[in-house]
Amino acid sequence: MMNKLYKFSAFAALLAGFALSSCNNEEADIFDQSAAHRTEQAKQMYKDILVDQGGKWQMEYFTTEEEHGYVYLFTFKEDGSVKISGHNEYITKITNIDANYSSFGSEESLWDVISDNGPVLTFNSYNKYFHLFADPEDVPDTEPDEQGYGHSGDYEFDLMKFSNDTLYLEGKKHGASIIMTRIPSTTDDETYLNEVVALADSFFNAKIPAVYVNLPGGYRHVVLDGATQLPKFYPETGDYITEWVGRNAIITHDGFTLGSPLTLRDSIDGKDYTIQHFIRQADGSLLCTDDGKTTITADALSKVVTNQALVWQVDATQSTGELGEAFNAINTGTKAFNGSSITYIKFGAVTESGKKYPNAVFIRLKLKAAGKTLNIYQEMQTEVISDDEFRFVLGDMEKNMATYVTKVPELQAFIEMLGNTTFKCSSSSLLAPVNIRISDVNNPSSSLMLNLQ
Amino acid sequence: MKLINKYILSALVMGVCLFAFSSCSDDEFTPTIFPDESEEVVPGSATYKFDKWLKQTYLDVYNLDFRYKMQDVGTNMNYNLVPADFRKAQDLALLAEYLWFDVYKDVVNPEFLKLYGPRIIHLIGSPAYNPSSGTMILGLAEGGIKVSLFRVNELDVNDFDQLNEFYFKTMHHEFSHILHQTKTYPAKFNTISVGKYDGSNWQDRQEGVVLSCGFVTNYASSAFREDFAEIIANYIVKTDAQWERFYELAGRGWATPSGDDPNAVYYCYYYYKDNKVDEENKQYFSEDNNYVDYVTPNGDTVKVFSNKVTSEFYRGEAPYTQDAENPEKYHDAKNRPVDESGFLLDERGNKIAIPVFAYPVEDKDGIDGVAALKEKIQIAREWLRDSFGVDLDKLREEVQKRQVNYDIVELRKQIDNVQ
Repeated sequence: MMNKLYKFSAFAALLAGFALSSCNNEEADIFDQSAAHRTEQAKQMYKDILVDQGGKWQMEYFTTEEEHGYVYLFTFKEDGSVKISGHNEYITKITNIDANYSSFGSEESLWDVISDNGPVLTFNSYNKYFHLFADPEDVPDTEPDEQGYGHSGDYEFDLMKFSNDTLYLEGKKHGASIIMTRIPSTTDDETYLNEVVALADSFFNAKIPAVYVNLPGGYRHVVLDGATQLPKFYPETGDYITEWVGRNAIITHDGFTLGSPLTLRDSIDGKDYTIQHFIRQADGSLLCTDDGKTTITADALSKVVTNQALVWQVDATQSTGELGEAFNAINTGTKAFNGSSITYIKFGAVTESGKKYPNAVFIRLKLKAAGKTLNIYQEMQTEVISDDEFRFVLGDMEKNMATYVTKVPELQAFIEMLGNTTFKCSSSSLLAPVNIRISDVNNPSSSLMLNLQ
Repeated sequence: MKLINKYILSALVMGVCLFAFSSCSDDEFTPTIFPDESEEVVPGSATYKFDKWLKQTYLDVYNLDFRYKMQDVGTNMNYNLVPADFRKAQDLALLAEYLWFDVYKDVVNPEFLKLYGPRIIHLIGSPAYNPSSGTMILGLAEGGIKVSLFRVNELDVNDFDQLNEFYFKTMHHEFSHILHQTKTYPAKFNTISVGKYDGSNWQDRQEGVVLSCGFVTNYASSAFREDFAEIIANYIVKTDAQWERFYELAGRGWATPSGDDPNAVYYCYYYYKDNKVDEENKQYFSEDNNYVDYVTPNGDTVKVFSNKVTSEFYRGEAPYTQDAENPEKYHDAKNRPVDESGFLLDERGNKIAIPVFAYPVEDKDGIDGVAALKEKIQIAREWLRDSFGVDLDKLREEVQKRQVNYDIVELRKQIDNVQ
């Protein structure tokens, strides 16, 4: 019985101990102020950050992973108003349903930082140029039927972090990660956004068939559809069908950013590299700021210019030196011969009036007789010598070409120069080399400017 | 000992338990941890004038928080919604005052909306679409406290019909909900169109079909309480001409060639091809301008389908007589011109074709739509009078007067000139 009593006493003591401890609601203060007060302080802090230094910010705005990002500019004012500017194809549809280009739009509305689970940046009055991605109304004449769904865009954002003039946000409802970067208050919105659109064209040009992620170990991954800002990646020696991986992306004033990180394997050094953020370099290529080594470029210039899928037209006004003079002299020669003049000279496998011609130096002549034209060509192949050097290997001469070469010494001289010259390539953009200058390696001032058709 | 031990043990356990429970009971309330977030009207803010006007017009008078800045926590997150446009929010706030609050103030009494009015009005820019059903929500009344008005960004102050359909009607609809959530309406109302409600397919029902069943709109046919709110709202905001049309449609029968399919197109008239009475020749139509009067050669007025005629012609009444002076002319027994075969001729001497006769669809839904609508209005009228002292007809008269006489430019001056 005593044993039972002990057991009962022990149980009672345990219960009492539990009871006492369960009432211990006095915890050491971890924070000086209540959670609510700290949230209020955070709200005020973010408000101050947003309006500071003129209150102008660039937002890299994303909706879903299936849609590319959009650059928006915000000018926050202390009175609770905000000017929001954008430049995209949906803004165009608001004002001109028939247009299919990107256009600029800017409007003032309201903003605030409110409390939720933490500070939330809200754009709480309608801005037709910004809320269009959240609006459940259909945007007319666009591919998706938005009615009821919109684009799953957010207009309330959890404020996650502020660092180095960059705000890190997360869409409150749909969860997209979004970055805002402070820009100078003197920035003119329309000029800035026009530049972004122009950059988008210069980054990825749809005429360039493929560009490459050049990993530090030397291996390359092909990038397709970069111009859509929904690029697909696959290993250069891999299989596109089974190995491609896609990302949404955004082209900003400074560079190119993937909507989420992408890890690629370098098959040469066996390492994985995670890429997301790229900045534009002086040579037009994109440098990954995550590792400081990975770049995105087109193929080597010599390979681009000799790519048989591409056709290049000589720009007489930009061609220089002996080559330029030789090129420009042809027209004088043909006029002297039979009054014909050169419409254009192209390199590559030209298609003219539905007819596909072989890889050649292709000349289209306007004959003296009104409305008459003549196509003549000198077949040729190309030989790549290095990443930036190549030469032409002349082949058969088409019969009319043979006649013109005989009768027009300037043409003969130009063809011979092509066959005898080793060319060095250069371009203002290694990513979108749609204009390539080919210069005589032994006489750099002698060059032809080729524009991609 | 056994007994004592038991007492000791019991006392010990009870004591511990008593201590355990009572020791938690002396917690004291501390001051709130939440900062004072009362919405202050801040001079210098972009919304200062509007905020001040809202405070003076709604908050100070009706204790009503007029929320025009979107708060998604105050909405159903299942819907994709956007905020109201600031300018349009101002216009709607002005019109709500003029066409809702001031009407009750003038027609009932200044205290009525202070007592029964909503405590929150929340403006939302877009409709709340339900893509799966193809429906959209234009307004919500929650717990007799809060009214949410949607689709504010489509507000066009120059389009009165649109204003009426999407905003003013919605305001009165939602307020009716608040009132019946306060004092329930007579159960008799629910019996008038019983068996004709359709909570899942109401959006596919045609206007004429639901009117014939005693519902003023297809949404009214979705549920008893929506029917009640719709009849009040539509009675107040719809014009006499619109109600005449309601009654006209409600008095008709409606049928569909595809049986009882509720999603089919229903018609209120029909005819038979070439007047050959056969189900296979039956053709339905609903256009009133195709259901026209025709005076037969016998002087009877009949209903026919448009200008369509049959290949048959009217005959005169025998005996026929030949004109003695002009043997080419004939007359029937009523001295009407006929041809030599006895077919009646018009003033141009042409035979008169028999038109295609048209008929109204028989009303087989078992409900006298007109009577049902009127009975519902009467119940609402008496309920408002007895429960709230509101004269529905005076309310309607005042709204009808105001809704064609508002001047938005003048109303906007209230905000521009707020002191």
